[in-house]
Amino acid sequence: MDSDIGALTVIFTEFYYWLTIPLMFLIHVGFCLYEVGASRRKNTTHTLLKNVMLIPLVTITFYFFGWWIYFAFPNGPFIFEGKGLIAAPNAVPWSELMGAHLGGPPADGSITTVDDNAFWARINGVFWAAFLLFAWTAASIVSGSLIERVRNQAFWILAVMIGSVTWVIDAAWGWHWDGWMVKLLGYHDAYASGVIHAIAGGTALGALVHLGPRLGKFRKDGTPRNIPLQNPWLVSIGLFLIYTGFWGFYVACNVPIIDAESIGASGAVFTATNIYLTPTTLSAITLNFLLSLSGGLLAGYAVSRGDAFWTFSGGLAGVITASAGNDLYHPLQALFIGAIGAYIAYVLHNWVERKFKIDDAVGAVAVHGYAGVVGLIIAGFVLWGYPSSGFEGYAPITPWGQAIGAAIMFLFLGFLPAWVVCGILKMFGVLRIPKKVELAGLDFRNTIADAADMKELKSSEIAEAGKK
Amino acid sequence: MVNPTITSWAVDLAQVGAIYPWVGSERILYLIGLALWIGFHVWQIRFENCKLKMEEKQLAKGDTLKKCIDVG
Repeated sequence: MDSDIGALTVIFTEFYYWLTIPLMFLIHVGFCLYEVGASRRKNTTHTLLKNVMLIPLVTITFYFFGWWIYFAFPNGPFIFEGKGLIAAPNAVPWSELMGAHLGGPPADGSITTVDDNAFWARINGVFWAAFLLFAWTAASIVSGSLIERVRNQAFWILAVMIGSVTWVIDAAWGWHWDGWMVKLLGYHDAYASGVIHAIAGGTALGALVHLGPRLGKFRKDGTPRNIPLQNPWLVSIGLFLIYTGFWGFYVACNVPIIDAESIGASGAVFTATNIYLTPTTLSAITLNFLLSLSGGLLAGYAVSRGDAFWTFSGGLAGVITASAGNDLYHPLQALFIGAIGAYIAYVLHNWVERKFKIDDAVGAVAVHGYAGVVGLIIAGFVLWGYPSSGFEGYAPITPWGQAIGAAIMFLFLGFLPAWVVCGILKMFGVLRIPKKVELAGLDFRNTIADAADMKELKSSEIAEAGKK
Repeated sequence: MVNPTITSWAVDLAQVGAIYPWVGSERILYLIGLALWIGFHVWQIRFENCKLKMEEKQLAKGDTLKKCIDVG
């Protein structure tokens, strides 16, 4: 911060990311309401606790190793030109820059520079928190699919896996200006169709294969039964809060202000960029966010024949589908792409449910996973030939680069690790709750106690009324 | 590792680095935190398995399961 403009840029950036964090917190609030609304009354408290406790577990592990993975793994490791891990002195948990720091010169023995300290002292905490909130979102997406039958211990291990390991690896590979997927494949995923949504959908699917459907979900002929929502209003509010939090998510995916020369361009101008340091504007992404949401809502309503749950979920699927290229699309392209994604998500959800007996309680695999994959592939065609970076030596955006990227996100880093981990948990008998407990409900002790309390209360009410 | 890290704010702030107590203790704090995190999972797995076994037993007694199904 050797000039006034430099100091203001850093302090503005710090404040900018800080503002995104409470907005993104609403995503988690939304997921909690959504899950509680979708679960039956007998499982309410357990469902809420399962999702809330991922907050401390993902937070501490993201501090312990998640943040370091993002900075250390962009080369693969060893995939790009045989290079290995990158030193990340600002991101190791014992770095002075991971605590309260005023940006002064490095301590003796530190490998950070004076400039590193001046920048990261202000940015590290808020940037870490923005990424952490993405991590919560990834884990929370998985949570909804597994409700009413997964053991907490199994889900929390899975939450740490996706929140602090697998999604961070995919971000280092494909959501980093220097990531090997960007350099070699021209992978472009500006607002995380793949790096958050496809991986979370794939992880949920990998877990669901081992977990199995809820009791009574499928008839003998294999057709699915509807398990009614406990509270459709809560589900709706939850989805609307997720939409709201998505604004913070989009804004947090940008670098708010950077000079043109720092991103390989020229001219005495400043610009906002996406995570790849290629230029965009908040105006552009605002237009595209709203148009893709609208496309998803319209298509969701049409394809589901007016089903409210799938209409609202269609809105989310619309945004997720267009997110890969929403830094560059025309708003009407975002509208059409959002509509296509919502349509495909709905059709695929129902097909997979019937064909493979997959009980995805909230449709997360479809809304996040399939829509994310479709969004990446569409971006490959629509943005074919666009540069993936402002720097030299990077592959351009192509359909095959995006398709390979989608497979890495959904299958390699999403489905596969969850399938292996849940297979092991199942082998040890700690993946699913006992059938009797599932039938009675995970909150059955509370249910019995509440019923006894109500009985006693009613008797005393009647007795007291009788006295007068 | 000396404390307090800061003894006066009337200094050149451009020269001030970390300001939390006991600078230099980060690796020890990290190891304690790591142990607590793993310890939590180990304890929670045992606790939940034990709780679910007890609940299963409780549901096997009398008409508890039927009551739960009726109420829930």
